[in-house]
Amino acid sequence: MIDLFHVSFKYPGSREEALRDLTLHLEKGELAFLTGPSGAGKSSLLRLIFGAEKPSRGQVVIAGHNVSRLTNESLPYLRRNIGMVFQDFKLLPGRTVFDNVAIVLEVLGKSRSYIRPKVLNMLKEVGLTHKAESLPETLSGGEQQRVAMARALVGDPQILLCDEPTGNLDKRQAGEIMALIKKASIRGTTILIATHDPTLLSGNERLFRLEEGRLVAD
Amino acid sequence: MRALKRALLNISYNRQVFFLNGLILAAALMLLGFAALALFNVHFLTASWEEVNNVVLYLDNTLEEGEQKKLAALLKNWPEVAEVRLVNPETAIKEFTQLSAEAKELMSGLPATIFPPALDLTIHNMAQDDFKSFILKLGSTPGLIYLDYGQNIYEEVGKISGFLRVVALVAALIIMLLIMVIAAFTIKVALYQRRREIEVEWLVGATPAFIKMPFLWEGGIMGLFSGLVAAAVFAAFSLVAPIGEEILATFLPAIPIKLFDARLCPLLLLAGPFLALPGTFWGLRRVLK
Repeated sequence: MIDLFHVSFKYPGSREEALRDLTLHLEKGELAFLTGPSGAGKSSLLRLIFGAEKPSRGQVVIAGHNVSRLTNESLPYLRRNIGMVFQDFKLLPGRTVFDNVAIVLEVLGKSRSYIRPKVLNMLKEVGLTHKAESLPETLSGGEQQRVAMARALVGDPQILLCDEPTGNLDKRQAGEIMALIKKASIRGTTILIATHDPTLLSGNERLFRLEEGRLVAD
Repeated sequence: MRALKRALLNISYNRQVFFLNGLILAAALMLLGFAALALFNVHFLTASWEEVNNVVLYLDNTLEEGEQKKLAALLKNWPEVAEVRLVNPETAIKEFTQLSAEAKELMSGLPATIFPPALDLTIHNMAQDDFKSFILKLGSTPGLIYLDYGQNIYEEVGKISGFLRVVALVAALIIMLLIMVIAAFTIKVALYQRRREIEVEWLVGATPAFIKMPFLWEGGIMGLFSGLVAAAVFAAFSLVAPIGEEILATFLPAIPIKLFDARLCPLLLLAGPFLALPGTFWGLRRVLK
């Protein structure tokens, strides 16, 4: 589902490579963690998989699509298969929680009659039904995190990418988010989580460790 | 329909900006209306000035009277000619001396054949190009020595009207461009205001068309709104236009200036969206790149 072959990546204007000769492979339904110190290249790797960046060298193949060859017109169709939880959530400030989650299904062209129950069901799963009409700026960090998670999962993506998904949560909330992630994994979603938090690891998941842009452990 | 709903939602979120920009566009459309009105006035005025309905063909003195009559009969059959009057030298002198006492005094003692025989043609109204061809055709008339249709005045009026038309057209084009620039700028501002929303839409898999459509609707609606405002203000102007026309008529009695033309109302209504939409395309093309 996710294949990287000898991938190197350098940000424009930077002399240092953010990722160096990285090769990894994730099967459908696999759940993996990406760890490493700040600046190790975790977010850069997620951005490559998400199609936000293109590799300087090597190949990134996601669900059969070579990211390097995707045009601006075809990139949205790749992204519809990927749910992404951003570190800064990227919620729309003027829109309700419901609208923030529904936007994914609107983009997919789903009807209003399909969207409403689907979004409400997703909000129920993340425990935010009562906040459906609230604006994100009125929510706590943990609640915003859960809205971002609901948005990433509502379209039933083939791949879920999470950048520090429990960074703003207490232990109980982090546990709830992880339960949601595991539920998605059971449904067959391939999941890659970039995190600093060692308590999230239960020992059974696959773990990638990045240091200075290199994959040092798999 | 979903894009239209999103556009309406965006407009309701930014009502003040929408109305302000719509009114600026409406003001520009009003200017366009006045430029068009100026163009109409120039056209009507110069059309009447340029209208020639009389041409005089002065003939060679050696041409026999029979030949003159034959020529008159021939010209009478031309489709452009309404009437032909043969004016012999004696009749010409008679008519000239009847003009004034000075004219009579001026002619005293001069031979009766001082004026050449002439054919006075009354012609039908025709387009400028047809008139030029007609004059060229008349130029080959046998025995013709001179053709008079007030060419000096005709050419001067032609030059002035041409200049006025160019000025009004250039002004109209500049205003149209201005309207498109305002629409493009408005959409750019809207894009900037909603950059975060666009970013999120792009990140969750929205196609460029999905992102652009609400903005296009917004541009179209704003154009329609401004067109409506401009047409309504123009229609209201019809109430005071006659007073203005009367005042102008006291200063310029020979130049009937129209301050209102009902045809401009639907034109302005259509010009709003037709000019705002290309401007919106322009604004979107540059920013979403």
